[in-house]
Amino acid sequence: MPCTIAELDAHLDEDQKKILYIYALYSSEEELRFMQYTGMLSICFHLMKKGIFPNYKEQLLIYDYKADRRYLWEDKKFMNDINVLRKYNVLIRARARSKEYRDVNSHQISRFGSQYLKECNYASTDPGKKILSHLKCNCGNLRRVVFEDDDPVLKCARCGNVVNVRGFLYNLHEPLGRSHSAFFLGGDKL
Amino acid sequence: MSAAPAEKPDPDLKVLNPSIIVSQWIPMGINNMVSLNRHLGSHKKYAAPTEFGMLGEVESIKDAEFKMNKPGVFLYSVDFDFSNFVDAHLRCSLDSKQIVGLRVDKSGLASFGVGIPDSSLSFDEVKITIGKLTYRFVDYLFPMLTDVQQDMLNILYDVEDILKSHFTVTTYALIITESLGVSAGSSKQFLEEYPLKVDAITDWILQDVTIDTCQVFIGMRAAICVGNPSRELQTALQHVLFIKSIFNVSLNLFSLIWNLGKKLRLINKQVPNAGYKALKGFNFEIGKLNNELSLLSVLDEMFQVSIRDKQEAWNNSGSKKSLPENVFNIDRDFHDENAKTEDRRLILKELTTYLEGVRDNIEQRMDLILTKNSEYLNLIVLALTVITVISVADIFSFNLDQWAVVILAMIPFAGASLIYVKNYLKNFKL
Repeated sequence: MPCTIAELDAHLDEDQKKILYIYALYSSEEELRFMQYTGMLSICFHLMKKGIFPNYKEQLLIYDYKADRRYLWEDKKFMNDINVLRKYNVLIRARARSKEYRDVNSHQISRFGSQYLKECNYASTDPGKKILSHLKCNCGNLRRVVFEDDDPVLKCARCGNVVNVRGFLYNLHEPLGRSHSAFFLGGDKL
Repeated sequence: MSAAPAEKPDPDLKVLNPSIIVSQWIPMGINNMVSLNRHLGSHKKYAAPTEFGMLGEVESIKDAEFKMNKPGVFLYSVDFDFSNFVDAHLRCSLDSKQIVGLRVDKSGLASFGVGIPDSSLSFDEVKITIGKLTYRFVDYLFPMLTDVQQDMLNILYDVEDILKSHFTVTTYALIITESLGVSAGSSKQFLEEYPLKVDAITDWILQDVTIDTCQVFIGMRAAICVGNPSRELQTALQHVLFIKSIFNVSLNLFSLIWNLGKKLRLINKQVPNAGYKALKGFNFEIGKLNNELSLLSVLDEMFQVSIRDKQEAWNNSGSKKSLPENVFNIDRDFHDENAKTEDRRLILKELTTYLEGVRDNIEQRMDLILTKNSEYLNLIVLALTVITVISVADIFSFNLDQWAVVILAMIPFAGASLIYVKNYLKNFKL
């Protein structure tokens, strides 16, 4: 859906702009840099806990975590926001080959997306500054997302400082919680 | 710059008094089914449960006493057909009041089911319950299975030990609920009024159907049935559980085949420049891949038999006749799964041939290296012989005549050596 910068600005809501800005920090069409979808979810979950995404509720969904499938947070509005960004050609979805796993679901900001953020000077807006302050290490370096077994972590490649994204993966070993009884589906049996 | 569009308030969607079933496909077949019923004593109608799936092994059955490493679960059969299925109550301990329903049938569809009466669950609670029941497959069901079945599951999920690999297991869930807390005339109307809501549980919505008074939403990871399903509809939902569970297995199998092919191609690429030690390593690796390929082929065949069995049961069911044609796309999905098995069979065949080719390449390269080494050794022996003869002549201070004899004797020897060097370089210069 081709459109001008002004039209794009009118179509995107604040959440979508924030997501696009985060993608701008971690990916680039020009530099062939991509961000794994799970990595983006980890960052947005972390930022949601910091109050950056007040419109999102906590919703769990099974999604890829490394080579395995585990319960991850993925709000349906978030999913929709990603699709809106793709619709306006500011975000590119890609499937990349990996050595360990068949393919990796990832995204990158498009040239048009980068141009849009530059023209509206998003980095100097309040949300832009807040996002950066949560993702930057004290040393000034942008933290990277690393998928550790227990939790994803935001790690500074320069000084090694780590922030755990707690609560992203749910502990499913706990008891069921509710009082329950056995249930069998009726109908013909084999 | 523009402001964000105003957010609509969320409707109060809840899942009321749900029954939740979580299913997955396991390698089963009629023999394992009979064996499970036999060991469970289903026919004896015991009034007390039997403990299964304790971790550990009896070292010697000569010793009357033995010790196991971890307790198992308690099963009490409530309905069964020796060669077809078992429905059992499952408890973690004898005094536990929390009972889970376990159904296993010969086609390999295994399900845990719980009814949660007098409840109003949030969507997240439902998903977390599904996740917890998924983990119970590893904790409760897999330890009960035979070693061969566990090996097959290790292959299917590409893990060393399935009993420690909770989050590799993929399942499909069915939620039957009285209501979602709001009323809608049909599934279509519900989706129009509340878009992108039940998707949070089902993972997208592939299909929505209204049958009698029931609204059914089918997604990638779960299906929701709102209302009280008839016997026919329940039979159809059983097949939905099967077909969606095997969809995941089918994906896994294809992924495994793809990975195996990738590993083989990587080895083949390295063979031309590999040394003897690396080639021995590759040979070992090829042996392992060959085993994996064989097990994968067997697993795939079991899978095909299972699909055929279930499809036959569906085709013969009264449910298929009484419900709308191709309800929930069951017929089309069976057709697709059969086509996929045929496709995988061909890829497996191609991979088997490719593996043999890689093995031949490794052997040829190893032969080449061994021959080269042997020729190299011969060259050194020749050179050392020449040096030794000259040294002996020098030590014994040969006169000119004696030297002339030595040189004359050495000329053909040196000539032969030069030809040997020339041939060595010609044959082994890479």
